[in-house]
Amino acid sequence: MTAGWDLTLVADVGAAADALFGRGDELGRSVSRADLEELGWQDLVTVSPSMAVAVLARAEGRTLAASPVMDLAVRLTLPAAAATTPGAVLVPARLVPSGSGVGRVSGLVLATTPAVEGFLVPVSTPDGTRVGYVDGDGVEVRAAAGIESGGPFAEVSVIAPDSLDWPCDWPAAVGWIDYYAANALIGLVESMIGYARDHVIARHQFGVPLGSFQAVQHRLADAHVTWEAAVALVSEDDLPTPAECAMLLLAASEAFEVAVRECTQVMGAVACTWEHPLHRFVRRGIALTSWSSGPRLESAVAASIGRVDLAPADVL
Amino acid sequence: MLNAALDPAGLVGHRERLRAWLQEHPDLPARTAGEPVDIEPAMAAEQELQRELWQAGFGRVGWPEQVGGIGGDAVHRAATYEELARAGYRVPQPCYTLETLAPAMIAFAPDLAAEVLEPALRGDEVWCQGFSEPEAGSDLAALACRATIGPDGCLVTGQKTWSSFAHLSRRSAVLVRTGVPGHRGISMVLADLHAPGVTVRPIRLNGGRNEFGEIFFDDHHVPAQHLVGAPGQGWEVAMYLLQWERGMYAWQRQAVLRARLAEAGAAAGGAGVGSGFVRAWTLVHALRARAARTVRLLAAGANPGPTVSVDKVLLSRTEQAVMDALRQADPARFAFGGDVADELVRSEWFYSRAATIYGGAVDVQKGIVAERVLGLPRGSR
Repeated sequence: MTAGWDLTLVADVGAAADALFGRGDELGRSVSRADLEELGWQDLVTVSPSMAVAVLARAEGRTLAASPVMDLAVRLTLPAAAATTPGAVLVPARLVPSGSGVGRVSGLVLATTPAVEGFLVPVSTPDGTRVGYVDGDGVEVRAAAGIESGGPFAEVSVIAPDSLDWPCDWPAAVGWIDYYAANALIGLVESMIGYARDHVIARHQFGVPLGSFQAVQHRLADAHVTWEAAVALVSEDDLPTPAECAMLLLAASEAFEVAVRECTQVMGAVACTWEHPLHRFVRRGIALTSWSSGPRLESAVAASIGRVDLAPADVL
Repeated sequence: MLNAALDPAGLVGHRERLRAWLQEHPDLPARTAGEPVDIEPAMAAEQELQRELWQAGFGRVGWPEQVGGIGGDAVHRAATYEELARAGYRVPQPCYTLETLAPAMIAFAPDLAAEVLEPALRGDEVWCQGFSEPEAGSDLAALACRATIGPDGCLVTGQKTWSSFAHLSRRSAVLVRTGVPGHRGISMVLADLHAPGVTVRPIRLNGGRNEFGEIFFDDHHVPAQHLVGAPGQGWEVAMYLLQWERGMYAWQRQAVLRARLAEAGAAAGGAGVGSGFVRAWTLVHALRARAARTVRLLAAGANPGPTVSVDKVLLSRTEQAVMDALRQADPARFAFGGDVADELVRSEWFYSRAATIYGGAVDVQKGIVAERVLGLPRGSR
């Protein structure tokens, strides 16, 4: 059975998130872990972990903010002692095995978390994935180059920790990363469609608003329906399954790609300028979708097809 | 016999009782496996399944007592359809139409519903819509089929087309012009297709099945009490009815499509399916969540408003994505397979091409989404 979110609480959290992340008038705010704690992260997680991650990730995406929502989501899979340890969660490009010859673990962190405090590093062991703490002293943290230079992602490479103190349900952690990324994409796309909508209402050609042309209407309707399909897949269960998270991220990724195509087209040349913020959303979206490979997501979903209950008593 | 004192809140209990009953009765008609190619014997088997469900009480769940039901609401009926699909049965096709017509009848013509609806709900009669005309498709308000209202009813003359299962139907809810041009001059009547003044011809579709029919009325008499709603209220009834078509029909279809994909996925070894298959699976889950929300709203008596057009566009996409996935799962068999099952998949694939047309063309639905959901300026059409 779905836990189901308390919609009044969702609205309240959404309003608080708007105040913290901004409403889009100021893009790219930096929101700290302390800010999220002050907003009531612990209480929200107690009520509904999925709601906490979804609402905040969506606000982050909508405003291109930088926040440790994903970090906190991954920490949901760790024991309490690890969950309260300071430092950034390192998301390795590849989960490496423990033991001799491991060497370094490389991957991404969210740079909003003070990297100097240290890192939580997952490592594969014969007893399953475990997480160890690596002190941040002397570790080089480089802002990720490329699509969103100046964005929240940073690259690090650390020596694998000797002491792997905490067990970690790594598939569940990956599920949370997917769930976070999907909701951030949903927020991004919401803003992108909003820009396009405002543009085609205000912009006139041939003496009428662009948005009155059927061709333009249909493009934005397609973008909206694809976005709604992703929204419909946001699980309200306390702990969504990794397959559900993968399915959600596939849908959110499709919504993003459709929005890139259709919003850019209906906004015309202005969408292709540096001045207009649309490209910043495109850049963040490309970064978010790069974290999870399509084949990995598709495999996770495909493997679940034969196991699913065709009539679960969950959504009605 | 099901306990008549159904607990309306007992949705899980309803599912469990129905699931157990289906397991105890493994030889019911209308199993998905073994479906005949032609629609006529398929429908007969599905009507027989309706009768079995009615007799056992499960078909009565979700309908009000005045039409033979035992209470509960649309959410219970939705659960029934999904349990049938899960157990390997077809959702009886007469229920597709009934799920749009019956709620409208109950809401706008409760006395008439109490008089005539039960035989359809228990599977003894098939009903159809009589909406589209040769010159009134997407522009439904341009319909010309005329009814002249007199003291003891009305005389209907004109033509309807694209009516699902018309040639198998006993009754049809027909939109007729009784007044001025446009929306306000439209009424709805319940026509008896077995009465004088009616000719019905099946239309064979490109998939090979007689899915649709055309209906010709020639001074067909409809008793006054067989008006659905007041004279001139037909458009309002139709709009109410179409909400159910967008919501419950989408739910019924997701149940069927999901079961089809699961079966094909299991046959392909689960992880062996391709990107198109996974996308179809993802879409059908999105449709399930979306349609569930709409069914809940409808069951609660709420108006989902223009957002149901999102459901309709999503349904169209999903129908086509699923059937494309089944085609791509084994292209050679899809093209050349000689079994009845192969012929059915081809027929369904062809029918899915119409999913963007029937029940409100997606082109119109996208306009509604653009203007009434996104708030874009009204276009010139």
